[in-house]
Amino acid sequence: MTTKATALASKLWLRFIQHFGVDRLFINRIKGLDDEGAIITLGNTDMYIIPGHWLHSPGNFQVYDPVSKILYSGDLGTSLGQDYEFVSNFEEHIKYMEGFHRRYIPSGKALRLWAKMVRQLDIETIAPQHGAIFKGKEMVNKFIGLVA
Amino acid sequence: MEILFDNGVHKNILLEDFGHGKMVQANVHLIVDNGKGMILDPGGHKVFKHLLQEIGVLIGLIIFKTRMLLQLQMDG
Repeated sequence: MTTKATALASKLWLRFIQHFGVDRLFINRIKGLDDEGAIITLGNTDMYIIPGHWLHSPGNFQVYDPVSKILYSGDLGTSLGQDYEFVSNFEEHIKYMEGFHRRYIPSGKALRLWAKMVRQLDIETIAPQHGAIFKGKEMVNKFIGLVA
Repeated sequence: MEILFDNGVHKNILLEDFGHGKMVQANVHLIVDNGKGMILDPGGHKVFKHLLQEIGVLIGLIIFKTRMLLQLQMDG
């Protein structure tokens, strides 16, 4: 890394990242996360690193920001092929998510556990790593309801 | 670049998709709180140069003590 950044990743993956040809200087800057996640301080705010295991990798985490109330959901909620940044019609949007989730996140149990966990959070926005963003409680609740 | 949230001291910024060619479309997110930044899914070495440049403009690299959350998949 060319900055003094600290990187966070699941402990599960630390031994694999060395296969990408990185050196000790890089490895020593990665903080390994236990399965239960962590609370980290960013500036004056506590950020919640919450488990998202099997969604879709076995050591996977999402980030909940309690100030903006955004849940960064990683690959969960991915959509491919749409031409907009924010979802406005949830029912029409499902077709852009369906293929990815059926192929990459096929575990109903993992999804139900995730839904149970995030229903305890006050979420205004779900922002996946790929595709369109779910903004507003109505969209958020529709997405959680779909996967539950 | 899209500002998802901004209260003056805390910002959530959706950065450009820095991918090209057949790379997977990926949203790179930056969270800034009181001058400290956190990048989610920085996207690997192919996009890092562009990412660093944009973040440098946004918050300044000198004060940039960032954290990155890596998913460690091929797409970052």
